Amino acid sequence: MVITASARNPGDADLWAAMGDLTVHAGDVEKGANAFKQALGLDPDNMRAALGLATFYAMGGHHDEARALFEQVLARVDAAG
Amino acid sequence: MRRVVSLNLAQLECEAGRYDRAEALVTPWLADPVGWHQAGAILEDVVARQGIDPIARAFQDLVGGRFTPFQVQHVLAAMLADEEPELEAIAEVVEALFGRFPFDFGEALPVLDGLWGRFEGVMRGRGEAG
Repeated sequence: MVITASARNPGDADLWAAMGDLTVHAGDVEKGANAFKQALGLDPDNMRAALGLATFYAMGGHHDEARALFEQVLARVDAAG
Repeated sequence: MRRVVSLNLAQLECEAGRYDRAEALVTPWLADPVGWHQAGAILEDVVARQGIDPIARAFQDLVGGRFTPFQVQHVLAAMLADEEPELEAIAEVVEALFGRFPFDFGEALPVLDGLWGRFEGVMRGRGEAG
């Protein structure tokens, strides 16, 4: 359903982030990462997508990229109080 | 989200050798009902990678007023490691634990399960000897 919705609403970052989560949970982490990147391309402040992509990078051993994204998310969470 | 991000970041900082940063990130979660287990494991890693004696560190923390499952498990382990454990003191610590944390960390931490088993064994041995 989310996949259909994201195809119909390609400009919706939240839908891409949700699709990323679902795809990762379904076992296709590469496809999930691509969905997170789509979301971040549309909305660089999308924390769900940033967290998902950071986790993908961390698990893949890309620690510098993961750290940078985790730091960004943490800064936004702190700023939001 | 803050907990998930902080602990994931702490693990990466630990692996990168930035131990101060890693510790700063885990400290708020050491007595958190959800995050304490993962936070404690990361702190164990941070301490081990620096070659610090975790028991000495735990006692130092307690003196400084930091009371979390990390300190408790190491202090209890040290107390039980004595040939003649001070069971009354240990019993006081154990009793205090149940009202100290808003979660039952005794059941959730395998290391502590082992400690409880040893504690009960020592108590039984004392009872039989007495």
